[in-house]
Amino acid sequence: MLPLIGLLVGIGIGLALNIPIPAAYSKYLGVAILAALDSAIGGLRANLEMKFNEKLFITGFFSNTLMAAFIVFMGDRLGIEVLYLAAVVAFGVRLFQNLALVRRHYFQKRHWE
Amino acid sequence: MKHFQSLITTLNTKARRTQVAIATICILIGVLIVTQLRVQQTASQALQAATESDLSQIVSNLDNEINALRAEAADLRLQLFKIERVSNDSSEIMKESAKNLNKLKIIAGLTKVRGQGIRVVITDENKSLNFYDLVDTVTELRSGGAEAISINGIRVIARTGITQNENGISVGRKSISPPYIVLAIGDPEVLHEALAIAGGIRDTLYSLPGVSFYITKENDIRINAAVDNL
Repeated sequence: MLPLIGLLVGIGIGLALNIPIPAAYSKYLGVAILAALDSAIGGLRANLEMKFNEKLFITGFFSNTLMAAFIVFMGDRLGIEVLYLAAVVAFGVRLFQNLALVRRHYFQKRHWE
Repeated sequence: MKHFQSLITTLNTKARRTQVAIATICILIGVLIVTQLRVQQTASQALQAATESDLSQIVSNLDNEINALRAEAADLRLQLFKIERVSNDSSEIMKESAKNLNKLKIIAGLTKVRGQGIRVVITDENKSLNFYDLVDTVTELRSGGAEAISINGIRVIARTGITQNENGISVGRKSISPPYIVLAIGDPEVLHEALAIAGGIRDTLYSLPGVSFYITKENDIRINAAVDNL
């Protein structure tokens, strides 16, 4: 419940602050959001698997988002603009895996099998 | 029982910490998502987010537009050129007509005339001058290119008669008496030459008794319009 409230609060803050970001950086931000979502879902999964560690979770969140943005940036710099695909695929696959596991754990927990 | 309770509290605190951690991250994600959506909304109008084929499409569209606008500009330029030529022509005609009209007005004596010219003062103490001497003077001035001539303030135009009866000489229907002051507007040098040429009118009149004939060049001579003096 708290994560959902957090998400809504975040959206509210974003709407209120209206942070201006150059359009050129929106590509980095997009991949970073993907990484952040992956981290959050991963945290949920770890929580359900009873092995959640908030230090691991927080550091993972920041390193994943920053690394994802950095990979896209490096790709642009190296002339491999499609390098962002690597981050998108990696985080996308993990995102769906984590989602599937979260769903499974949730079902197991509720004994809906 | 005590063990069970402590387990529950630790679980509770641990679960709460987990929830808080995930919620914090979710706040960040919310901010990021809103920011990104905002940027994408504005960027959709900008070109940064466009793909290469989109860009090439946009460029070719713009090229077409440019070509169309160029053609239109050329068209309009041509139109402008045509209009300018027509208006030039008509203004040229107007100018020419105005000039002609002015010239004709001067010749007809309808307007006051002012300009360079000469002043001729002819004295005649013994009344030895005849009307044709004045006619000759006027004729010489006309052949010298005089635009306007007056004798004693009376404008001499094409239809002005110079006559003579027992009272003396008349210009138009007004009799005049010496000294005769003849004003003429035109090139002073040419007019002077026309009168002062050796064996010309000045020499002829000068030889008469009691007659003097002075010519002065003037910069500012004013001659009134002709009144109906037929």
